[in-house]
Amino acid sequence: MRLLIACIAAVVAFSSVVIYIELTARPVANNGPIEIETSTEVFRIEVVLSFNAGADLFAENTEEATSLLVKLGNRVLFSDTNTINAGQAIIISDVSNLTVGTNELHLEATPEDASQFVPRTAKIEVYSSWQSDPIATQLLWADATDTKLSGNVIFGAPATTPKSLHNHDPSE
Amino acid sequence: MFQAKISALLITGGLLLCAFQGVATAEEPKPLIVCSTTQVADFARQVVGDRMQVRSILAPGQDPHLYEIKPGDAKIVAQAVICFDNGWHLEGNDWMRNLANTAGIKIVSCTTGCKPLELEDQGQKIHDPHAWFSPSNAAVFVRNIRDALVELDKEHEAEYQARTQLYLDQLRTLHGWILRQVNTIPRDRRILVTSHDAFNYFCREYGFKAATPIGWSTGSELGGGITPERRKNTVDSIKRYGVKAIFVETSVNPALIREIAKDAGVEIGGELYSDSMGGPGTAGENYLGMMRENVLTIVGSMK
Repeated sequence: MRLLIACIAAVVAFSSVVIYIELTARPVANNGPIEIETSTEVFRIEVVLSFNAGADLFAENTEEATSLLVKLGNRVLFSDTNTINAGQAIIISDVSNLTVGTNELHLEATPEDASQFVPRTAKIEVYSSWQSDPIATQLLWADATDTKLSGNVIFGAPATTPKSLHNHDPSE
Repeated sequence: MFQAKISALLITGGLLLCAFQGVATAEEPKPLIVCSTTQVADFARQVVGDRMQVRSILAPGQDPHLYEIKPGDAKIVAQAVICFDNGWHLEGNDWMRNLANTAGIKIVSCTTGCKPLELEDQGQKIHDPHAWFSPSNAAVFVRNIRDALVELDKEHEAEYQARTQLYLDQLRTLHGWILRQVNTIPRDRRILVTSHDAFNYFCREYGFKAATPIGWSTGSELGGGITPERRKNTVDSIKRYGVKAIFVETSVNPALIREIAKDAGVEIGGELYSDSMGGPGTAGENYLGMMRENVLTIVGSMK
């Protein structure tokens, strides 16, 4: 009889522990690779500088001495080592494979004549193919005494063009 | 008991071996880089860090145009893995290139790729060798040194690239700072009178007019040295433009500039670092400090 009670007590205790573990088990973190969704949309970026940009004399490599550089992560969207005149619109077309959600553009522009002490700006606009208004507009500033203008522009990219706009009948 | 003794012996032996290993590593000499001038040596140090040893043949305050090779110089150069000189004949009669060539050591001229200022004398054109006085040319010096070191020691390329990146940013900051300082002096008052023609690149970059009694070299090369005509022109320029102060240079005998100051009735504005940087512990012991102190001296005297 004692042996039977002891066995039942042992089974009850073991089962209680198993049930406790099952109930309190924490969800395991998903350590798998993070999937990045790519937008099927095509974008256009326009940049206008308020100053003449020239080759960067302090660049690490002379062949990379850019007057204007626009990057998306490690991807160079636009790069030029020649002079870019103030007011000249730089249009970067057919920008695709953006990440769905937040994207970050990086811009660097070097004043051709840093001895002109005036504040400098770069206007950046991001357009999607289905909208006439920009989806992002930003003005980057550099102080009058800065020898380089640089900054980031953050904007959101949708997964695809909204269907309602694709199926939109202009005659309506 | 016996086992304990063996263990103790093994541990002691191991410790001694490690200690000797440490001593051996500490005494292992680092590869040597030999440079002609103090500026070039400073640029090399900025790129190479403590990875190699950097020595300059010229001591602070010495004149590269007039330097005469000492018996020990050839021995130093012979130990180098690479040599750097300024080039464009800053080193009078190319003494550094001759030393390196004699020892069979590779030598790289830092002015390669700089946009030269051409001086004309007796119908001949000469490249002004004082290119480092423009921070954008200093950036060329640094890139040339980096490229040569990367070729020599590919294993530590990332390190050399990273140090160069930081130093180029510092040069960019220096350039912006000089522009701001110089901007406080009206452009028509920016006349720089110094002992010899060392500051032409600085003058071009920051809108100064240069006037000097001695040509581009303190030596007797073409276009160098003092002539009565140059001396007279300098005094006349000082009077005509109402120059407030003139400057002596750390690496050039100040006697002549003091005489000219007396003749023209102007003050000595101070001492500028020119062909050589300052000694250890001085404000001008490196390139950034040397340029900073020069600009503060010039701007302070012209206000």
